[in-house]
Formats: sequence, structure tokens, C-alpha cells
Amino acid sequence: MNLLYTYQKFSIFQSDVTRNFQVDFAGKSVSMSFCELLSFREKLKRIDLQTHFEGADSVEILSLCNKRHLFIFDTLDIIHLKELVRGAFISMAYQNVLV
Amino acid sequence: MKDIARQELSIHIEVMDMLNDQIQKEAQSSTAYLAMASWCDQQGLENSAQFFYAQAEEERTHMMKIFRFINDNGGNAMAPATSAVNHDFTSLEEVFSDALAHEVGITKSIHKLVAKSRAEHDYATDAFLQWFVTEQMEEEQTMRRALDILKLGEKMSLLQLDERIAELNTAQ
Repeated sequence: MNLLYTYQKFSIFQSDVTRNFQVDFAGKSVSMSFCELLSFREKLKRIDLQTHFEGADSVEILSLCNKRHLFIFDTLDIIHLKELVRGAFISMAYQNVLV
Repeated sequence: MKDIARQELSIHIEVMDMLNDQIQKEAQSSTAYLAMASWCDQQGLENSAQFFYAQAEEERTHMMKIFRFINDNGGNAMAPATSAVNHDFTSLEEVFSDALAHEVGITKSIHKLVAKSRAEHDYATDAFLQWFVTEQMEEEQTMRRALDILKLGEKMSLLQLDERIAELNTAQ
């Protein structure tokens, strides 16, 4: 299992054997296919942090991997997760350059 | 470490995001043209209505083309949500003028996509988008031709103008 990126209490690993990604949500580990990781990225991307700062929302409920997992994240978690996924994809892009 | 992302996804991730944005824009265009078709229908301008019904269908075809391209290449195409569109027009000229402005906006968006895919060396998407570049030129030409017809026929009745619009339906 190779570490792709870590940010605050979250990390993303890649397994070359299973071709899956392991996302560590501060202790709870979730295995995702690339497609599920893309979907997770999209869900994070669509969260408008402005509504959090304006006080309309303070938590986000995310169902991941075709409803296999349900998470409740606060604003800070969402900020950190957005950074985590951004960093992981940049790391993967570097792999593309290096391989 | 294996480059799993590249093996799973043939297109650049940020280009994929922009393609998803484009899907939303094409869907929004389709809805806008449907509203225009409805207005024309209500005014009894059957040929113009027919023209915009066809345009609405065409925009949906564009949307589906991009949608399939993303999924076929391992990406994650997102079904678009559309917002409210304008249903109120004061004249047929305004309808076509809005339609032309709309097409110019879509062309700019496609050009940005082409620029981005070239910047990211995503030549597959660049090649895919060339069809849209040509298509947008044709779309703009059609809208301009419609506006020309309306301007040239200032002394004609609205129904006579609508009959001239039928020429565009056959040309499409």
C-alpha cells in the first residue's frame, strides 16, 4: 500500500495489487475503486463552503461507494477532505509524468 | 507505484471537470431553446417553434455526446441540473438574438475547453472537441442567418417571416 497524500487527520493510499484506493477517515478506513474515488471527489467538489461560512450549513452528510458508507463531516473536515483529494490527484498526475 | 489513475482514466481530470460543466451548459441550452419553442408556438409561429424544438433536441444530442465520451473514457459523467430559463420575449427578433448570444457563449466555452485540453496535453479530448468547434460555427451561422431574415423582412408580416424561417429548418 503506497501513501498518495495525507492531510491533517485524513490519508489516501493506493494498492497496486488490488488496484484500489484506501481512504483513511481519521481511523475508519474505506476501500474505493478509482471510479468511486472520482465520485467522492465530485461530491466534495459540489459542496459550496460559502453556505457553511454563511451559517446555512455546518455539517455535510455524504454517502460513499454506492451507499455502503455514510459519513457526517463538519466544515473543517470538508476543507481538509477537499485538500486531501486535491493533493492525491496531483500526486497521481506526477505519477503519470514519472512513469 | 503503478499509475492506476492514468490506466483507468484516458482524459485529464481537470478537463473532465470542464467537460462536466459543458454537459450542464448544453442541458441549459436545450431548456432555453425549449422555452423559445414554447413562446413561438404560443404566438402561432409554427416554423420558428419547429426550429427551436429541433435546436433543443440538438443541444441534448451534444450533451449526450460529451456524457458518453466521459464515461467511455473511464470518467464520471454527471447528470446535469438546469436552472430556470427566460420564457418572456417581446419579439421574434429578440428570441433569435438571445439564441445567437447563447450560441456565442457556448462557442467560447468550447474554445476554453480546447485550450485547456491542449495545455494539459490531452490530445484525445482535443480531437473529440474539434467536431464541436465546427458545429458551433454552423450554429452561429444559422442564428445569424435567421436574424438577417428578420432584418431584411422588416416590412413583412410576422407570419411571412415565420415562413422564411422554415428555410432554416430544411437547411439544418
